Amino acid sequence: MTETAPLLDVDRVRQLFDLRGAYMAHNGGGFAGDPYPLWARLREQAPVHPGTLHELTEGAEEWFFHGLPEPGRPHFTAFTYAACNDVYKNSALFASSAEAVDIGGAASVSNSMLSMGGKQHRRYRALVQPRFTPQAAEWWMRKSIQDTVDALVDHIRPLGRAELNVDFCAAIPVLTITGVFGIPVEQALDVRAAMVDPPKVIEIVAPLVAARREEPRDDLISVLVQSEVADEDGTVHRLSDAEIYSFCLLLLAAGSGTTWKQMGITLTALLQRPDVLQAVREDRSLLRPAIEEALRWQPTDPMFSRWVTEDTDFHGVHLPQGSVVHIALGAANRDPARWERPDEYDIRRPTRPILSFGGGPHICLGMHVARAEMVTGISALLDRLPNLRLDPDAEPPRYVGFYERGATAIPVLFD
Amino acid sequence: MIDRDLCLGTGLCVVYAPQTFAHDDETKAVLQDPPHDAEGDVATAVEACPMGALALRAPSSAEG
Repeated sequence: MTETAPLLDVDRVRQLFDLRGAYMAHNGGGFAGDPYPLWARLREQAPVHPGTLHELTEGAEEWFFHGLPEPGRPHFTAFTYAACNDVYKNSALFASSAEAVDIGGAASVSNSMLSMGGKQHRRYRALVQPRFTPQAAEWWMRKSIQDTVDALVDHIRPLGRAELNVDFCAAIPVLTITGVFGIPVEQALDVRAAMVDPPKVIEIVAPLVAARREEPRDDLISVLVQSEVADEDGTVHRLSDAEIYSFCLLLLAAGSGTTWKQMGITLTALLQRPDVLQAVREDRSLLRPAIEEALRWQPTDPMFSRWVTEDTDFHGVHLPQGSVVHIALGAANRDPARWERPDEYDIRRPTRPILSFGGGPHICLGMHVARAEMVTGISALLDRLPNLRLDPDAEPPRYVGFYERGATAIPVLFD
Repeated sequence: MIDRDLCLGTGLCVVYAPQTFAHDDETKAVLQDPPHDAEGDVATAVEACPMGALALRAPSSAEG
């Protein structure tokens, strides 16, 4: 087999997707400790604590994530499954942003459905939900996941070794989402790099939106330009360019930034347990449980936040209106009230719902796509890279990061 | 029971109990006829619904 060129510039991928690199420093990418023992102690002490998760975690610094920094507001963090689940389920009391969304305003992630509430959120989410169901995962596979995965494995297979985070995991979600948008591969990393500068992303997306308005195709931007949404007073309108750009910013950020880390977490868990890896290799029906268990045990985003809309007494604390509640779902996913031996990675556990994709009306839109990417990606590695194993001479992968967690590097060998 | 007004079409019920729930052409959950999954899987699907749009009904219930 001849060597094929990598789909993406490897050095640039490394810079954009290294958890310890500058790109992730603001949300705690350098955090190298295991926060779970401390979170377990906090969960035992009380369901809800005053303070942010990083204030409550020894060794953490003042990092930014959803619901942070928000100085001037009281902060609380929920640790038990029951408390976290209650926050997610009651979306009227626990809103997903401090302020209403300004639909007429500038395009931004905060002006997307991420921050909307109630019926407004329902109307906007319904526009794209049909493309994000478990059944629609087939469409995503056909549109971009399978080709992307095959091309990546074609490239690494003759080499006998790879660093799976950069050579494989990082590339799949960004190429999946840009592919479904109709953005060419050459521009995929430009989009990823520009996520910190929304006008630059819009520069890339705007010509596509204009083209799809002229001539719709079978892609996500075409779905958006053809969508009609009813306002509060019943008036139906097509989405404006600004509304579409906000949608695009949200979907591109969410689609390119999370799944690669969760895939690396899952691969690390399996590679560090050769017997479990072998079991999954031999019985592929164990792959989905292995992915679900990694989501429970080591979610890449272990915290999200909500804003309290009225004074309330909640699991033993008083939450004043305007305060921020941080949902320590990583801690909730290991609540011994719900799981036996919660700190063990055990793919044969009985299935129970987890909070890794959030909950309530804002539950991750892309969760079935993410699962499809991980199933397709890991299956291809197991099918096509015989005797896949960690490189015994390289530094073993470790889980790092605070508000965004993932594996450091995953050096592997294969025959 | 499925509350169509609450259902958002997130598809978790279809994941946990694929032989009991499906989506109609409005991406709302509907019951398959006849439902096939183990009782535990159906209970998991009901618990997993992020909208609280699903409820179990006792088989002996007289309500339609």
